[in-house]
Amino acid sequence: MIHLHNINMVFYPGTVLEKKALKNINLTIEKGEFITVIGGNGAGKSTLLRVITGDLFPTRGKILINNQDVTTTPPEKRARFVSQVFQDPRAGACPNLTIEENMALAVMRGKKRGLGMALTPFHRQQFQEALASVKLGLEGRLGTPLGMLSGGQRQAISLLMSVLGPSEILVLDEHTAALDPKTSSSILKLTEQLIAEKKLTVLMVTHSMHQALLMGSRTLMFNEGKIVLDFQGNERKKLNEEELLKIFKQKINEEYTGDEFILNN
Amino acid sequence: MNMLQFLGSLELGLLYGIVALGVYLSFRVLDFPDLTVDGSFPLGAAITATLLTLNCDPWLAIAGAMIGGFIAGLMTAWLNVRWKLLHLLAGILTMTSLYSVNLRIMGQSNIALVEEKTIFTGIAAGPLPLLSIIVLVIILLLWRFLRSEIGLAMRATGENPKMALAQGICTSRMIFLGLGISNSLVALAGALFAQSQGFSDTTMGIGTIVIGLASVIMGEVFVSRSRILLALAACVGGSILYRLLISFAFNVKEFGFQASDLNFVTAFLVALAMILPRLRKRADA
Repeated sequence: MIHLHNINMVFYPGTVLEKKALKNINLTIEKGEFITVIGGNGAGKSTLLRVITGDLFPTRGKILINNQDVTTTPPEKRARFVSQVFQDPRAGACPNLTIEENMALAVMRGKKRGLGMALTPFHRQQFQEALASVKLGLEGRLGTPLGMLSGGQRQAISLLMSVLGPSEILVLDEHTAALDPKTSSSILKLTEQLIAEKKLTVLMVTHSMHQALLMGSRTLMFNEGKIVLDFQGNERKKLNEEELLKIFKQKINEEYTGDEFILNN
Repeated sequence: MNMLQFLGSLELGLLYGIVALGVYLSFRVLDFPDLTVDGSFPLGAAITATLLTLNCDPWLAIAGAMIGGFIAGLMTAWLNVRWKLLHLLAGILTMTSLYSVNLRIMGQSNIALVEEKTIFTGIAAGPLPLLSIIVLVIILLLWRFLRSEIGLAMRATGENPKMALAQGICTSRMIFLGLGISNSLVALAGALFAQSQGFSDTTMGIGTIVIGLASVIMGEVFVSRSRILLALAACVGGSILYRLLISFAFNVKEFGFQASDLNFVTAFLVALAMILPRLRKRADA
């Protein structure tokens, strides 16, 4: 479904600030796969997501979605295939628009917009049902401005919005990191429920080793712009958090052994 | 204030109410502080006045003005979207260039419309009833537009461009369309101004943006921003209120204002309207 060929991403090339955020990434993601992505700060996880959503164009390399070259397709055109939920609950929606207006924006994702009314009785019915299915008590509040809701409620709406359109790929960038633990776990439950319902292909970045192993079917570990580990199947099932953390630390240290050697002598 | 002055204020309030609607579209809906307005208002007047002197149908002359305004808006959008010029600078550049364009169109610095037939010719009740209908129609059309699929996409573009892109909205196209419509409304106001006041002058655009902004802000004192129809009506209401206040201020001899103080007073009012909410916030804190 998604093919990344030799993706390189360099920020500020040719300056002292030059940073190679992604180095020769090759990755094939099958339809229906649910991938969790872990790695330290600046490891390249978010850059990878941004390259897939079209927020960034890679410096070198090629991206195929459904065998179609989308390497330089702008994000608004790629929205037909890819939907996303941001880390910041404020980033994924318009606070001054109502719940139903935000959802109406999502339902038109990837379709041609015209002068017809954005909200029809049919839409309202559809949104009402979608809201009722997540049991947040929001189904009677279609006309409430989104800015009046809590962070968790907004993130739930963002999730609902991400599955309203036709897109089959869902990209989650630490979408529960800004929430308290209880809200976070209920949002994760909702995430799994919606993904299973819609049979989506998912990339989820997380800081939690626990979530990374518990959710999804495959785990990627990033370090220094490279995929250092790729676990799936039985190998992944046997792994527990402590072991993963140990491997994680080991991998990071490997990268630095050169420096340490110099410093120690 | 006598009846004549009151009706005069009402008329100007309605005319500049259309400017306020255009400014609402750029400043509030798109969150794009567009200064093109100071050029597109006289542009509308210049095109209309020139066409009228050529014996053009007055309604066609208005249509011509609106097309001119639309193109002016596209120009600013192009400088900003395509070449990444700062929005304020893009507007200032278009506005400055329009000063020359307007002189070229008119061939002189002002045109007096005396004999020419206008849309208000032969209406005994004066321009007020027809102006009111035009303003009402524009409000209803904008209300309908802002609730359409494209209109909603435009509102999202102004409020959260990153989210708009993620929802498949081509934000740059929205800026082109929004600024085009906004400036064609302002040019329409200029055209109606020329036809009702009987002249067009290249310097008549100075301060248009500030007056439009004053109207939008004054209207917002009374209504919440989330109800579109109310917000649109408030733009026109704010514009009329502004004219009445100005007329009142200039009528009270004790204040000692003269006609040339208008721009200072307007700028002062806008600054005050923007400072007051901050002061109130500080008092609460």
